Amino acid sequence: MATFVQLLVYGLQLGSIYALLAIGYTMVFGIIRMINMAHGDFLMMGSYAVFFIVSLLFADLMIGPAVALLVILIGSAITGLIGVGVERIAYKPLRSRPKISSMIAAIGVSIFTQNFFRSLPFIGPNPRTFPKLMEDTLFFIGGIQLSMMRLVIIALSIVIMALLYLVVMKTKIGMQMRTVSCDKDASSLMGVNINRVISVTFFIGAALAAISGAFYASSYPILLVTMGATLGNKAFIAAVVGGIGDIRGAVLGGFIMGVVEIMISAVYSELAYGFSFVVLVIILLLKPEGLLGKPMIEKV
Amino acid sequence: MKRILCLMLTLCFVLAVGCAPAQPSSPAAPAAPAAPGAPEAPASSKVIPDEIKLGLMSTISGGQAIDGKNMTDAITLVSEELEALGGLDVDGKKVKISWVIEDTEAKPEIAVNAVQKLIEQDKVLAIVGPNNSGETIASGEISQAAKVPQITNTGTNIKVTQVGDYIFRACIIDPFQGIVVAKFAYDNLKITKAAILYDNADTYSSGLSESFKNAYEALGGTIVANEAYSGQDVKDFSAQLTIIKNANPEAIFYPSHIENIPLQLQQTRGMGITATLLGCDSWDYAALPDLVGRDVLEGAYYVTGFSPDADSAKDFVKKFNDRFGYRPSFCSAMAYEAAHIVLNAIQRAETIDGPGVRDAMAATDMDLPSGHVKFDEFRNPVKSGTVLQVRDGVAQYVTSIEPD
Repeated sequence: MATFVQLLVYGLQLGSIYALLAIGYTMVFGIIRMINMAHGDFLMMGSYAVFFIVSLLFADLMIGPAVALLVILIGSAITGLIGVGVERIAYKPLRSRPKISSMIAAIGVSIFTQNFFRSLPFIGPNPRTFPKLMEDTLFFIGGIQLSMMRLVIIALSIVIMALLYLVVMKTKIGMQMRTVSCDKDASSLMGVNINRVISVTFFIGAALAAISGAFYASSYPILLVTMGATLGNKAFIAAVVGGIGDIRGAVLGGFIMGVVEIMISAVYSELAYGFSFVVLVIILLLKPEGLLGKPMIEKV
Repeated sequence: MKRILCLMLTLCFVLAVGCAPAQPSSPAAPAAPAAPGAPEAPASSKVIPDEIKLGLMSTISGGQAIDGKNMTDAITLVSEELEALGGLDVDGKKVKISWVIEDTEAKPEIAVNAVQKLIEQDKVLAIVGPNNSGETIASGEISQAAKVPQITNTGTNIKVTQVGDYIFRACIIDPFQGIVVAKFAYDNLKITKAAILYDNADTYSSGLSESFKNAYEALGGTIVANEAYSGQDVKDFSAQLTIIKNANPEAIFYPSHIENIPLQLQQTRGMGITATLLGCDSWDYAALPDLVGRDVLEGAYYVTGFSPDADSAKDFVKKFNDRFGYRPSFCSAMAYEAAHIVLNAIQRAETIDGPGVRDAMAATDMDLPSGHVKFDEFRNPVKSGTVLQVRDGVAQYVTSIEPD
């Protein structure tokens, strides 16, 4: 039992990272029906941004939770702006083309960013060690080992996701996002500035990816330019399992993905990776639109 | 339905015909751009070209780009040494050696393309690399068929040189590494309960874990947990480590590629596991203590085929460090040695072509940074394994364990 709860904590922590990343996929898909294959690379950019801010400004100082949060926010704002730029340069010109074109453009962006960052002399191919943002303390509750860092990450992720939900449901820009996702042309006729909504969506998506990058790098402190690729794929699957287009679905999918992966690794590590996907396939077989997704009506 | 079947059969046929001649087409390839009638050829019928092309295959991009850099730096050093001498001295004639570098991206299928390009297009005389067993096995089949000698620097899996008699390696083999770690743990450290964490999607890692397990159990030790993960993309080992922690081993062996080692060790210590850390030659990377964290790595042991502190290596280590600003890793040292084994063989070869160089390579008997090197009948070098321990952030020589 203790081992089960222990594994659950590990799974939730991994899941919170998948969830933050999956939100970006789901939001972009919800609004422009495009799968942004380069989304995982925003995670990489975000963690490098935080890495450079910390190592340039604070060197080896332990910066404490408050400053760390501020640094993460600045890093995610930078990444958010990059996200907006990427959309303007690479995706906007293709917006009226078939969806497959923008998906291919996204794959191109992904390969380009990884190799471009690698070619920068101050990044290069070698892995970097992500600095410790706060002192991690271990403590025990009834035989279960908990780490402060893991708990903070899970809690912060939940807070951020709740805030985002409020933004989407209660604010004006959130309402505009929802209208655009329902019908782009009609909302444009109603005076919604589509370009602005899409930019804001990309900003939020990339910024969340950056935050998840900072959290990810705090738990797994090795930075590589290719780190976003696999994570991006998993987050995409999480978004699909939860029901793509639905923010709550992305969160649920992310947590399921993390917990399933950890649990199956513990039971039989030889097959873990493949088997966790089998579980996800079964979920999709039973509910093809994803756990919280609504069946999509194809308009002719 | 019939039409589809018919189409597929046609496709198969076309593919079969298309592929078949690709292999035997290039036995004449390695002759290199021979200088017509090089005048100062000595008494024998040995034709010495003005320029010889050699191939280098390595993981220039992808997750193992560090190894790629380590190898290209080593080859840069070799070419600069040659330039300083005015070329490779073959029977009194200075031959220009040029290197063609190909990226394998750490993928066997890319390595196959790369080796085909090297042999058919660049017409290289011999190939150094690639650095992984999987890619060496895949590309070795093609070099073997084309009779182009190939020598991997760090392809440690036993199967690598079983591909054929044109395939060599510069490093000690996986089973031997696994045996050295097992012997060291059982005999020197007196550890009787060990655990393993390995990558079951990787030839190197699973080969090492198996040889360690067999040797350790044969000595009388117990493997209390043998946990796998699938592929280099896995970054979270908490599930596997929870199982290992519950089994309470005295030492844990991590036969993985360098990219995963820091996270594995950090997570191990982060969970409060205090067992001795044991590693293999992939750990031999100068920046590892900083990457892992000095407090985490302190006291860990690993086995490698090369110690920078050995007397035979001092000269090479100094040259390398002066030129590139870091101490050569195992990967760099073996790439350097592989290149020198090839160059030395070209000097001794009776004919400057694939078979001639192969025969000369098999008869290698020379001093290199890791010590005196000869090949056994399976083209594996005969030399001892070195155990190092990390103390104060620096790997220090502990002992050498002889092959038996």
